[in-house]
Amino acid sequence: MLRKEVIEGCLREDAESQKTLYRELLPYLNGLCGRYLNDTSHRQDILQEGFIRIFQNLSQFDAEKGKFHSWASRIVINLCLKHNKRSLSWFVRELKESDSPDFNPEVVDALSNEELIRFLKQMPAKYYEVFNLHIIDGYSHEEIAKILKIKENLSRKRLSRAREWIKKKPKSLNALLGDYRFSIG
Amino acid sequence: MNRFEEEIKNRLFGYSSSKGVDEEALWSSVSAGIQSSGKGRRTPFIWLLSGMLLPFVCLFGLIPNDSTSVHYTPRTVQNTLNLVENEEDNVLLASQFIPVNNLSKNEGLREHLPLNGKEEIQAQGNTTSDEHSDKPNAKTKSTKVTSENNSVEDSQKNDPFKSRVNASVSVNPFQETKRSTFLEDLARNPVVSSQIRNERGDLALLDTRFAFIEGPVSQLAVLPSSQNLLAVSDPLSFSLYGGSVYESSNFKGDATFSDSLNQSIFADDGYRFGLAMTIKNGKNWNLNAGAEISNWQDRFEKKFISDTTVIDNQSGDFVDARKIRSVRHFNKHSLISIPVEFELYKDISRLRLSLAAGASYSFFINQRGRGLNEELSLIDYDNQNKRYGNFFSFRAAPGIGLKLNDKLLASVVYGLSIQSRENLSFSNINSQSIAHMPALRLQFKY
Repeated sequence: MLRKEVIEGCLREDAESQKTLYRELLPYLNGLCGRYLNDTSHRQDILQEGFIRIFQNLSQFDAEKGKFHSWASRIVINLCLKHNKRSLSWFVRELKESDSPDFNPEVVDALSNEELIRFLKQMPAKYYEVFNLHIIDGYSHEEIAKILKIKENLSRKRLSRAREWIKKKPKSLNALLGDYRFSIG
Repeated sequence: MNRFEEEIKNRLFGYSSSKGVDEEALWSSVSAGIQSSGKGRRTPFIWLLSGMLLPFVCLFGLIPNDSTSVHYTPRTVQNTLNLVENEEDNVLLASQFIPVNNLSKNEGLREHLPLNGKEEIQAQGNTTSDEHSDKPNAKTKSTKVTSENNSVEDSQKNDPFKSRVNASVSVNPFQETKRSTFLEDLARNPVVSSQIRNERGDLALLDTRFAFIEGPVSQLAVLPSSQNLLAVSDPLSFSLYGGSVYESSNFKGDATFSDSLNQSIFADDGYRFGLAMTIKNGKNWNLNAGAEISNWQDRFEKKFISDTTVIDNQSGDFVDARKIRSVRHFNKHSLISIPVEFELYKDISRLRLSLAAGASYSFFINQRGRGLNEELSLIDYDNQNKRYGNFFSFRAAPGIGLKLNDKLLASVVYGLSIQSRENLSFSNINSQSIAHMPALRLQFKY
């Protein structure tokens, strides 16, 4: 949780406070980029743009409306989604064409978060966007509709398709699920 | 949400990572970005744009006409009648030409002269022939203004020869005229006078006068010579110009072939040179047409990413890696363009400020480039398999010039051309672009 003094220092353009905020936010926002960006090689560019926007628009943050992390994450998520939109088609096609093997069941216990993200990213990007926003980050379909500029029903439909996609990946799913393998379906 | 989804949420919500980021390098970029904020970056452009527009606002909106321009007084029916009464030395008076032989004493010559669509002037002709024929320089005492609402059609029925005169005089929107010029034109215009005299002799000249003030004020008849009051006779003027072309393209279409759709891309620079002739001109304007040859370029990229495995040099193990292959499309094209531009200008001492706006049509004479085909393999292509078809552009060009001598004007113009180009080739990517075309221009006999 960011201290109030840090944010106030940033509003005064105090360099020390700005760096403190940067250091505290960086791992979290980097994790967001890892989850949302299709092409993570651009994460540094997105983070740079994201931090600049956060600092420039800091005065708009209202602590009464929500947590600072949520406010900052919304900025970065929007940037990631915008970036994905520009490079969506080729990435999806390339992943389909590449020979990415299923996860080895024997490494389930050692499945890292990165591997989990990588598994989820194999689903079509539009489904993954909604899955990410709704299941992981807890946005409502109404909020997702605003973020993605789509209709709420389409958001629900995409989530449903994402769930279907997961069910159709038995090998990967079993590897991932471990003890939960019989609870799905 | 099922247990699987809950598990994913628990593991990934709030997930933090420092992988793939150089913390210090990123911070230096971020801190530099904070200092030069977006507003700051836009400021020079706004100032530049304002600076370009300001002279033209002053030129065409705020600066009053100079002393050499012709001044016009509002032309009303009363003014015209006053002219008839007062300009005795310059023109023939109305009373000289009233066709008394065609009038009965009771009706007289009835001229219905609408004013502002409501008022009409009735020139009562209940004077005797003696009064007019005996007093050639007499004032038109019998003329008076009334508010009758008689129609123009009625007046024409009453006076049939007027319609014939009207037919020989062109009718244009006209609201103002200079008193002396109006009268001199009326008296001296040989075309109208001869046309009228052929039918009615001298008497018709009076009717021509009334033809001017007949009908709504906004649609008063104008002598043909009056159309040329604003025109300035000028020798043939032409200009040579040349400069560079920077095209900012926004590509739209099939993302299969491009990563850079819907974003502005500045391509490599091109060039242009051309010749323009002044085909019509006026006091502060020119209508120019010409031809120019230009060379434009555009380009965009396509990235292919695939997963692969490489050997780690240190450990000797196979590790996952991502292979990125970039393909650069480019297109170089040569064009012949036919521009037609309307140019307004303002001379201030030896300087000339100008603003041209118009359109052009461009024909491709050659284009070559490189791109992806449907099998996503790279091919080179030439004019036979051209990417774009001929296109239409809107263009504008503010400029500032210096008069080197009486016949030569050197200018710097900043041309902007907006066009949408349809793709004809396999890649199916259309382009909307703005071409920035700074140029130097030499104008002869400006």
